[in-house]
Amino acid sequence: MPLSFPNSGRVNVPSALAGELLSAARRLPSYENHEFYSVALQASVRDGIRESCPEGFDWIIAQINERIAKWPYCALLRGLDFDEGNKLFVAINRAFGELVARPYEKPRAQLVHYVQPATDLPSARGGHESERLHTDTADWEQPVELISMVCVRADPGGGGRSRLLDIDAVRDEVDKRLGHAALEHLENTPVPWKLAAYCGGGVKWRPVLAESRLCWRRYTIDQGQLSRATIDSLDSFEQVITATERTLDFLMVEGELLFSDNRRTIHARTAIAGGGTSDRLMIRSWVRRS
Amino acid sequence: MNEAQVQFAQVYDRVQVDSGTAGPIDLSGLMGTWINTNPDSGGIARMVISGSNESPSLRAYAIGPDGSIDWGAAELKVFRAGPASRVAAGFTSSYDFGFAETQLQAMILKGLIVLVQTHHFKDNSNRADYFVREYFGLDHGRY
Repeated sequence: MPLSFPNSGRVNVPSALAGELLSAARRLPSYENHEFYSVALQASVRDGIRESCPEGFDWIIAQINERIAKWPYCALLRGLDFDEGNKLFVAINRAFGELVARPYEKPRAQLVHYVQPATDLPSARGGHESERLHTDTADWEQPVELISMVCVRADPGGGGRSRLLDIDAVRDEVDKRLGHAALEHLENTPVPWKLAAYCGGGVKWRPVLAESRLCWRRYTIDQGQLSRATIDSLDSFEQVITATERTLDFLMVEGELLFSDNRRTIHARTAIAGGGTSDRLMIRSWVRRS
Repeated sequence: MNEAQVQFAQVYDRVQVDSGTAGPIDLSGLMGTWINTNPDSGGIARMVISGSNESPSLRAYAIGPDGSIDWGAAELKVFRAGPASRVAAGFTSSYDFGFAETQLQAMILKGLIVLVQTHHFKDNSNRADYFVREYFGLDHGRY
């Protein structure tokens, strides 16, 4: 039985504050998605919205910071109203650092990224890769620190539930199920991560686990360069994180905003029965902390 | 008395209010249970504001080592947004615990209460007086 999202990670934004921020966002000019690649524009949008209610805006940022700094390493906000041009979404994200993305290329790559079942990557192992717990940007030299996601429309069939598993639970489960030697092996054995072509390609060697971070996306690891023992270790690791009941499982509803620490949690979504016909829509961004 | 004749210490004060336009204060935005938005707070966990326009009161519950500590009910002095306003903008309250006194000053900010607490020790314990500023959100009962 997976865990529900803990109350300690939730934030309720008062409607008066949400309305003030939405009005401020709507007063700003509209921008195309590709224009948000400019970190200066991101900062300008943040400052333009923040100045309408600095204390309220800063309160929201502080609430998120407090929650992602400790278990569950994520924050789920309810009550915000987002503008159609994603300015409030950009503003809140920019308070934590620079929004980053792969180079612009519709529909798969946009700074404010639209996550829809129809564009999900199928997996060679069946289903979709997004249904397996993973780290975003595992194919970057350094994965991004933060992921944020807004639910615009939930799947009408109740699919696409969010799943999150944290570093503390992963280490503990590996220690219990596989033993301390396996934990140390995963900590001390670098594996080759295939870097994205748009990052210059090649591989980056780094371990899956560390004391306070993890990186996991099986298909990004170049298994051809690994010993049988290490491949077995990765197989066992994947079985443990797939089987554990310590994964948070919750359905994001319209208007909810989730921030998660991409270095201390791995995430996935449950399958969507309607597949590409579901109109589930999430908006996502990656943040490089400053 | 016209506007030019009222006494004032600042421009904000320089408004004319007759008994017909003053009207009762609107406390509707204050009533309810307010929860500290900092889950790690070691201070006031929640405040319950209740009562009538004429005699509103506050009851604070603080974090204790073995659960919450009920500070009891205290009188609430509510302030408006301006000399001619009907809108409640903040309040003050105080507690005297014998060994210490606590003054509370609050403002309402877009659906949040920003609460300033000053704590003064009277028991010669060498503990320094201290200042705390925290935020409270109205309990919506949805989780």
